[in-house]
Amino acid sequence: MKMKKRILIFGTYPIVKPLHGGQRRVDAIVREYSAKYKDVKYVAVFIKDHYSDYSSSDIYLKGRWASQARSDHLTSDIRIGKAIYESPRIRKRITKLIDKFNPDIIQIEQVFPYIGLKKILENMQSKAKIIHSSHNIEVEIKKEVMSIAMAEQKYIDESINLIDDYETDLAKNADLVIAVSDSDGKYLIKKGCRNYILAPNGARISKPTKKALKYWNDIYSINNISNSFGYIGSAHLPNMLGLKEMIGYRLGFIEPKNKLILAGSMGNNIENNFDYSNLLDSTFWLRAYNAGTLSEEQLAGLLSKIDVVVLPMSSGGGSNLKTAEAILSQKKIVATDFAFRGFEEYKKLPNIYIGKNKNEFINKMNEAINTPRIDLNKHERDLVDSVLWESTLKKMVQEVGKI
Amino acid sequence: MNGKIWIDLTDLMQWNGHFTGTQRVTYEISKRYHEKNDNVRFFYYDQNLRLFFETNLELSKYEDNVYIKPVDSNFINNIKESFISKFIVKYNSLPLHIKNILTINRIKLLIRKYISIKQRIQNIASIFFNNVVGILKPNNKLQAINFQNEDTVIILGKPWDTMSFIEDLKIMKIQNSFKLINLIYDMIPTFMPHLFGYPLPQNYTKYMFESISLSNSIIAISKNTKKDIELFCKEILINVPPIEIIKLGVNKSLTLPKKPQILDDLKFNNYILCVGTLEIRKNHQLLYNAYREAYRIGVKLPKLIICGGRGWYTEDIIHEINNDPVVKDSILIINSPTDSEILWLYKNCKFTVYPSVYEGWGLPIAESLYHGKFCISSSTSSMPEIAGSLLEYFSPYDAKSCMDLIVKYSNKKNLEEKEFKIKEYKYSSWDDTYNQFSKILNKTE
Repeated sequence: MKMKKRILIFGTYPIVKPLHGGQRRVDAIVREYSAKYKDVKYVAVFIKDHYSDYSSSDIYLKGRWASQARSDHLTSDIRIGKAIYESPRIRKRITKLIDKFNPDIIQIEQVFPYIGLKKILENMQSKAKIIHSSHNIEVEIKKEVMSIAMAEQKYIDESINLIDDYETDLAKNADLVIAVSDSDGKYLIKKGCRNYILAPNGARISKPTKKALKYWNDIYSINNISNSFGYIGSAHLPNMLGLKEMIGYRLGFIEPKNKLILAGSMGNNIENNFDYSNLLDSTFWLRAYNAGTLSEEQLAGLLSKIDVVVLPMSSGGGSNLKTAEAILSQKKIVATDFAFRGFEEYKKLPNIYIGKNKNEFINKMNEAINTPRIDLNKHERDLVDSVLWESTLKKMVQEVGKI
Repeated sequence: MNGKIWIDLTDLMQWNGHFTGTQRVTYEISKRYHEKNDNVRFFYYDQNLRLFFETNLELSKYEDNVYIKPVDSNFINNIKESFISKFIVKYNSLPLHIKNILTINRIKLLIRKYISIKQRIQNIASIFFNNVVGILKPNNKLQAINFQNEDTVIILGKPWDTMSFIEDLKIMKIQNSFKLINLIYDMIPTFMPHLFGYPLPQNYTKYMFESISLSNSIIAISKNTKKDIELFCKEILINVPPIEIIKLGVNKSLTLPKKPQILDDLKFNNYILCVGTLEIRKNHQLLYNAYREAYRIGVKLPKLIICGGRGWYTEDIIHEINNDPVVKDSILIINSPTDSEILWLYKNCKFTVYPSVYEGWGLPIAESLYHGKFCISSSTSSMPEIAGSLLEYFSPYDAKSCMDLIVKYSNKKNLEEKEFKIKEYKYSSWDDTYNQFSKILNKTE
C-alpha cells in the first residue's frame, strides 16, 4: 500500500521522453517515488526549443525570458531559475500549483529551480519540507564549462557565485540532502550540510525490440561494420572532452572492419563542430559513425549490438549514469578510473578494462575488442543487478518517508 | 605463387596524353610483368558500377603516350584562341535584339549544360553497355572480379581521385583477405597541403589512411617517403606495415633531339636548365628571387630556361617572370615541351637546377645525371638520396645560397670537376626497378 505523502518535484527539463542523463535520473526518481507514495508530481520549467516533448504540468519559458535563456546557452539553467520568480506568468502558475497541491515535500532537482523558487516559498510562507536532490556539484561544473568555452571572467565569477550561494543555502537548510556520490556528499558537508543520503546513478533494463535490432543490423550491414565500440553521451562538454583526450580523433588503431559508434547528442555536436582543416583528424569519420540522438528503443537496440562500451570521461561531476548503464548491459567496458567514480566496487567484474591515460586507453580498446567476453557467475550477476534504479534509490525513497 | 597477381590499370586507362610520373611507373612495371609473368592479370575499376573488371594491357595503345608528345599544347592554344576570336567577331556582328536574348553568359550556360548532359549520356551508355550488351552477348560479358584469398592486388597508380575505389576494395579485402601491395610515391599532400588545390589533400589523406591500413606491404620510392609513411602511421595510430624501397628507372631517350622553335629567334646559347611542372611545389619563385638578388648586388648569372607543363598556383610567378624588365630577358619559360625538345635542352645546357620544396623522389635530378649534366638541387626530402655527395645542395628557402651555387658552377673549372665526378653515377633502368619490385613481391609470399 502506498504511503500518504504529497511530493512536488521541480526540475529544468521535461521527462516525457528521457534522453540525457539528467532526464533519466529524474524519471527514475519519479517512478520510484510513485511506486511508494500516493501523490507525486513533477514540474519542469524549461526552454521549449530544447525539448519538444513535455507534459501539461510542465511550464515553458516565453518572451524575453525564453530568448535570454536561449542566447545565454552557457547559463540557460540559471536563466530558467531566475525566470521562475521574475516571470509573472510562471510565478503565478507555480504559486497556484503549490497552493492547490499543498505538498508535504518539495524536491529540487539540481540547484537551478531553487534560484526563483526560494522567494516564492518565502512569500507563501510554505511549510513544505525541502529536499535538495543534487546531481553534480554544479558550481564546479559551471566553472569548468565556462572556462573551456572561454567566457568572460566577470561573467564566470557572477554565475558561479550565484550558484554557490544557492548550493550552500540548500546544503545548510534543506531537510534532506541527496548526493550522487560520496565525494559530492563530502563537498556538501563542507558547505554546511549535516548529513546526506547517497543515491548513486543507476540504470534500467531495456530489452531491444525486433524492430530496433533489425534497424541496427541494417546499419551495420550498409556500413560494413563487423565489430564496434560504442560511446553514448549527450552534448555535455565533459563527454566530448573525454573523447578528445582519451581516444582522440585519429582512429588508425581501429581495424578497417570495425567502427566507433557515437550515440546521443554528443555525436551531432562533434560532427557539426568538426575541424576538417586538420587533415589527420579528418580521417576520424572513416572509423567513427554518428548515430545521433536515439529513442530509448533504438538505444536498447544499439547497446545489444555493440561489442565494447567505451567510457572515456576524464572530467565532470556526479556519478556517471552511462557507467551504470554500461555495467548493467554486461558488455565489455573500457573506461577511465574517473568514469568508475562511485562505482569502484564494480571494477573487479570481468570484461572491465581500465585505461589510465590515452595510450593505455587505446591499448585496452584493442585488447577488449579482440578478447572474448567472459560470462558472469551468479555472484557477479547479483552485483550487476545492484545498479538497477530500484537498488540505487532505495535508501533515498525510504528516508523521504521519515521526513 | 598459388593465387593470381592483379595489377590495377585504372589510372592508365583513364589518362589522356603524355604519361607523367605515376602513369609512367604503372606502364613500365606492368609491361614487364606482362612480358615475364604468366600469372599476372590486369584490372580496372568502374566508378559508375562500383565494380572491378579484368582488362588486357594493350601495349600498342599506349606507345604514343609513352614516347611521343601527341600534340603540341601551343598548337591547341592557338586553335582555341583563333576559335574564340572568330566567335567574338561573329557574335559582335549579330543584331542587338538577338544579342540581348543570347547573352555571353547564356551561351556559357548552354555550353556547360551541353557538357554536363554529354557526360551523363556517356555514363548511362557505359552502364548500358556493360550491363545490357554484356548480357546479350555472353562471350563479351564483362565479369566483375572478386579477388580471392590467395590473390595479390598491386596498386601502382593514383586512385585517390576516386575514393570509392578504396572503399570497395576494402569491403572485398575484409571478405576475402587477399594480399594488397601499394606503391607509395610520397605523403606530400598530407604534410604540405598548402602546395595543392582543394580537395586533393583531403582525398589523398583519407585514401592513404584506408590504403595503408589495408596494405600487407608497402613499396616506397625513396628512404624519405618511407620515413614519411612511418611518421603518418605514428601520427594517425596505424600499425606500420612492412615498407620496402625501390629506385625508379630513368626514361631512356628514344627520340632525336630537336631544338625548340622559340630558341631560333633568341640568343640562349649559354643557359642553365630547370625541368619540371610549373607548380608552386617546384618552387620556381626561388629561381626568380635568386636572379633578382643577383641583379641587386650586381652579379651576372647565365640565362635560365624553365621547361614543363603548367600546374597549380603558378599564375603569379609566370606573370612576374614574363613581365619583370630585370629578369624577362634572363629567364625563359618553355611550356609543355616535347620529349625531343627536352632532350635537346638537356644536351645543350651548362648544368641543371632543381629548387623543389619537397619530392617523393626527384626524377629530373636523375635524368640530368643520365644526360651527363651536373645538377644543383634543393637539399630537402628525397633529393639528396639520388646522388649524395656527387651533387651540390641549397635550401629551397634560401635564394642567396642558390644564387651562389649558380655562380660557382658557372665557372668552367668548377663545373668540369663535377662533370667528371658524376660519371660515377649509376642510374636505374626500368628493368632494375621491375627486378627490385618482383623480388619484394616474392618475399611477401
